[in-house]
Amino acid sequence: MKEEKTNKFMTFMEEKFLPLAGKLGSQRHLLALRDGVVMMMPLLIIGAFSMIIAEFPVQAFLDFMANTFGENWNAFEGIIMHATYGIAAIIACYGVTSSLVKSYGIDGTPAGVIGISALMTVVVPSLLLDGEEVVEAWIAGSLDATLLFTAMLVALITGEIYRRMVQKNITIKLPDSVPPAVSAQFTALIPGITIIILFTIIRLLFAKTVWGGFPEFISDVISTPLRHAGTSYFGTLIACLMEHLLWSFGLHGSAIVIFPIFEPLWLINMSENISAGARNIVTFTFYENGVWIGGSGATLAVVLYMLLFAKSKLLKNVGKIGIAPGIFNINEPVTFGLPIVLNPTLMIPYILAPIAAMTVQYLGTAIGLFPLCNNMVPWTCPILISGFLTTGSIMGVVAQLCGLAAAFIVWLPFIRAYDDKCYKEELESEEK
Amino acid sequence: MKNIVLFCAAGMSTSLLVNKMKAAAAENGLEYEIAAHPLSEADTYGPEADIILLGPQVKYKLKETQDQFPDKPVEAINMQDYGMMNGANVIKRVKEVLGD
Repeated sequence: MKEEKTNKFMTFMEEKFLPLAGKLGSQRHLLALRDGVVMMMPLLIIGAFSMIIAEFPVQAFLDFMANTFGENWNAFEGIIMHATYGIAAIIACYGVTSSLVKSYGIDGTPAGVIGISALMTVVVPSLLLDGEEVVEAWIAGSLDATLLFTAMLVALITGEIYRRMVQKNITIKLPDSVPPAVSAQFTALIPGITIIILFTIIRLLFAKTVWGGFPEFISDVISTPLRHAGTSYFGTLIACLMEHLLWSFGLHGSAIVIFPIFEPLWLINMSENISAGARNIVTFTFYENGVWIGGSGATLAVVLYMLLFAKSKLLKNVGKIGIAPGIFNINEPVTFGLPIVLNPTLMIPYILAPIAAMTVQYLGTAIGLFPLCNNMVPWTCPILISGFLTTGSIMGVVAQLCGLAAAFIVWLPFIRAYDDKCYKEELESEEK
Repeated sequence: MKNIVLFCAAGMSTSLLVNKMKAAAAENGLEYEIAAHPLSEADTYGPEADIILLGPQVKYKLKETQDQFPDKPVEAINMQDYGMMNGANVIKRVKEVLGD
C-alpha cells in the first residue's frame, strides 16, 4: 500500500511536475538572466582577490608589506574594486541584453551596447561640488551589483524591443554593396533611438515621483522586499528545498532555481555588505560554497562515508570515482551513479543534508561566531579553501567543517542502510 | 565516420563522459566523432548526428527530441552509466543501435 503511494507520487512528479520545471528551466528570459549575470563573475573574483590580499588576516604579512612598500601599499584594493565590483551592473546589463537577443538568432552585441546606454540613461548621477560649480557625476563604484535589478529589468526591456524591431524589419537598410560590418551598425540605429528615448522618458517621469529615480523605485518596490524575503532564513530554506527536490528527480535544480532567481539576490546582499557595511548573512558564497559541500546535496559527506566505511562494491566504486570531482564540488557520479536520482531512500537525506549544513552555518553567523561570506569565490573551489577565501578568516573554515559535520550526521543512517541493502544484494547474486 | 551527439543541460558534465567514450571507441577501432552540447543547441548540432544521446538531466525531453528528429535514433543515456562515467557501456549501446 505504502509502496503504491510512493509509486503514484513518483509517476505524478515525472509526468506533470518535471516537464513544467523543465519548461521553466529553458524559459528564454530566465536563461538570458542566468547567462548574462554570470558574465560579471570573473570581475568579481578578481576584485575578491584584491580584497583578500589587501586585508590578509596575518598581521606579520601586513606589517611586512607596509614596511617594504610604504603605508599605502594596499591602495590597489580601491582601484581594482571600483574597476570590478564597481561596474558589475553595467556588465550584467550588457550580458543579459545580448544573451536575450542572441537567443532569437539575432546578433546580440549591438543590442548589448544599447543596453549599457539605456542603463546609464536611467541611473541618476550624483550632484557634486567642483570648486564653486555643481557638477553631475557617476561616483566610482556606484554601478555595482546593488543596481543589479535595475540592470536586469532594463536589459530585458531593451532586448525585447530590439529583437521585435529587427524581426519586423524596422531598421535602416543599406545597399548590398556596403560591407556587412558597416551595415550591421546601422541595423541597431532605429531600435537604439527608440530604446534610449523610452528610457529618457522613464528617467524624467520617475524624477517627479517620491522615489526621485527609476533605480530607487525598483530598489524600494521590487528588489529590496524581494531580497529580504528571498535571503531570509526561510527564503533560503525554500531555495534549498526546491533546488534539491528538482535534482532528486534528475533535473538540474541549480540551473532552474538558483542561477536565475537567487544568485542576483545574493550578489546584491554581498555588494551591500562590502560597500555599505550591511550584515546580510545569506550571500552568494554563503550558499554556493557553504551548502554545496561536494556539490548539491552536500554529497562530500557521502563520498567520505563510501571511501572509509562502505561494504558493498557499488558504494566503494562510486566513492572512488566520486572523490576527485567531489573535491571540486562536482557530483554527477554520486547523484546518477548511486543513484540518488529517483531513489526514495536517498532522496530524503539529499534534500535534508544541505538544509542542515545551511542551518548550522546560518545560526553560527547570526550569533557572530562565524564571519560573513563577502568575497567572491567560484563554486568549484574546494571546501575549507573556499571558506577561508570568502571570509578572509580561519573561522570561515570552521564554519564549513560544522556544515560538513551536520550533513554527515543527516546522511549517515540513510547511506548506511543503503550500503547494507546493496551489500546483501551483491552477496545474493554471487551465491547464485 | 559516424557522428555521435550528446545533449545535456549545460554541456559541461557530459563532456567528461565524452572523453571516456572516445577512449572506448578508439580501443574498439570504431571511427566515431563524439561531441557534447547543451540541448538548447539541438537545432544546430542535431541534423548532422547519426545518433543522438540525451543526458539524464534532460531525459524528460526525450519524446520532444524524438519528434524533432524522427529519422534518427534518439536515446537517453542509462543513468548509472552516466553517473559512473562508463564510456565503454555507452559505446556498446551505440554500436548496437547503429549496427556496427
